[in-house]
Amino acid sequence: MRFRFRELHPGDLAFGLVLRLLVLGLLSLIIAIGVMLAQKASPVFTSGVVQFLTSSKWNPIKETFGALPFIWGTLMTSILAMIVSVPLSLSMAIYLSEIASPGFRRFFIFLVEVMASIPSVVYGLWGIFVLIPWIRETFHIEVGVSIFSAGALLAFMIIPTISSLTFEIFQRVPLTIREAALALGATRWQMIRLAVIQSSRSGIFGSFILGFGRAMGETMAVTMVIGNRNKLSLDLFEPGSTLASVIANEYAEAMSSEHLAALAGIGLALLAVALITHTLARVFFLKKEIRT
Amino acid sequence: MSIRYHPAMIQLAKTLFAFSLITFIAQGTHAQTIIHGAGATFPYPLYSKWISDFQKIDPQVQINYQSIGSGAGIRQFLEKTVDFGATDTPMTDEQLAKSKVQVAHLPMALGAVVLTYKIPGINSAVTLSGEVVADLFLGKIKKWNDPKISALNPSLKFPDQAVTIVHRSDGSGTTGIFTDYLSKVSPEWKEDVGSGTAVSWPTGLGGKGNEGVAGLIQQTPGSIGYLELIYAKKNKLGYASIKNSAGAIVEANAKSVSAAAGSVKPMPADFRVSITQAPGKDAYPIAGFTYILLYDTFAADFNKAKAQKIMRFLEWAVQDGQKSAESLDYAPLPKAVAAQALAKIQQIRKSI
Repeated sequence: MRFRFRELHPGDLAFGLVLRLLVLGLLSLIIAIGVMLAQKASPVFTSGVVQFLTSSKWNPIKETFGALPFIWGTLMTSILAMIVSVPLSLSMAIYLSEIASPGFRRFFIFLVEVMASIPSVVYGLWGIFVLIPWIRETFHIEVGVSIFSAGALLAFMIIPTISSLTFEIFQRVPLTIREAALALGATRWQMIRLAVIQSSRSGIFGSFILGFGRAMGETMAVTMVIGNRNKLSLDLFEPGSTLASVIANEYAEAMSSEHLAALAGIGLALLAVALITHTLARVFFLKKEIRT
Repeated sequence: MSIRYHPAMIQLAKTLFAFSLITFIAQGTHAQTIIHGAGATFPYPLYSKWISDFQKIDPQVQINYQSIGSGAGIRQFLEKTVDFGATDTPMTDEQLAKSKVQVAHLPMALGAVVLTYKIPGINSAVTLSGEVVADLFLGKIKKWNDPKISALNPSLKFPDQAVTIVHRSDGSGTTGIFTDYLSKVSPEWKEDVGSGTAVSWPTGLGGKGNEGVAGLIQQTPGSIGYLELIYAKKNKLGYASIKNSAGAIVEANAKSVSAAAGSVKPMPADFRVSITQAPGKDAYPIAGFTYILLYDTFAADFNKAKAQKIMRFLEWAVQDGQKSAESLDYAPLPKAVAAQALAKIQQIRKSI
């Protein structure tokens, strides 16, 4: 936030101020959401945060609430989606950016962007009518709805998101850097690896985070294909539930204040899971960029 | 030229001002009474019809009903953000204690829960009993060719297929009625699971809304789940006949559901009663009222004209409105219950 006061126009000063206010506003909004959730969830905190996070019993009648099945469901579906979609979308973005002919590139990127903007309910419907029967037949399981199916559907949903973002980032890499790599004798793949991917690592990481965030927060599509069973099961082909889907399912009809507090606690847990995974990902995957 | 004096901006400001002025004036000339209600999703089609029919009788009244769910409806009603609430399951004592003024439950119509299934090879109606349904949902009966099911259906041949249970993933009055019934027919269910709008199901998959449950049943061979009667009828889904408390095998329809409501004697003054497993040979055992919530006495500062309109609407609903209930496949209130509800409405009216 360096600026030399004497050299700024009043207009620039005002502009900078407005921008700073907006940023602060956004930040305080996020903090306010966290505070509001914490307030609503306070009955849960008094009866034991650790117990809430590690118990796997969710019983609104007996008023015992454990968030573990949902934390597991959210993490498993999102990680599964990422495992499938990261290689696929990176490959798609590289192909479109570096190898495809311009006409094909224009056509295909248009398709990808349309897919990225399809509402999630539509994906959910497709999941129920197409994906679930296919999974049931291919993997020979009785019931198609499961954590695995939700993960697969989420993969379909976030591939367009990640690939269109990564494609944009690759396009931004200056031609000179690519040419420099080629001039030094790099093969095409080496050029892509060194010049394109290496230099846009933080952007790629950002698109992964957005994809992962979308997967974690996805509510409607997941609730349609996950089977909505509020019990913990380590078998990925069993039905499950996620943090977002249980809130969507139970909030409107929640009668007792403990149930509402528990759902607010789930919301807070989702926020926490998002923050923790983002921080961990930053630490492990985003190494310091080498400045030349 | 700075942005403040740009001609287009001035034009925009003028247009906005004129528009807001017109809207403000227009609102003032209508003198409409606007009534807000919110709550259960089950009676929403019925209330929509009632609201539009009532508007033909009294064009000065505009009623807005938001179907946000029984739980949310009760919350909004207690916080007085709406003029009336609506719920399928009556308020619990804990919730009633939150209100300083006594709350009145007015029954408006009846709902019933039916069991839909998809069993390979079975195309006719299946007969089930309360104990069998409870055992199915507890996970104790695991296959369709279980002797307990065959005993009730001697003419049908069931396949050796695993049972998949489908329940609601979202909280709902339908679940409330169904689990209330199961708690009555199975002490084990009452002990282990209990009844409510959202319970911890021993087994099975959850579908969101009636549509979710119906969709899962259609996709999963060997599945059975519970649905609102009206939904099943509208979508032409086959459902089971149930053996009621008198031992008779009853199919769910408006007549058997009204019979269930009418057989509960005496009807308590506050109408907070469970009519599942109702006595009588014609009664369908899995049914329940849907209520509108009002305060027993209107607050002193409540708009008197609005209060009169609300009572007029409800009075119309329990009498003339019951005819439209039948056309929409809702079971109408039995005459005695409607009369008792009317008396309660008159009593509340005295407080205006």
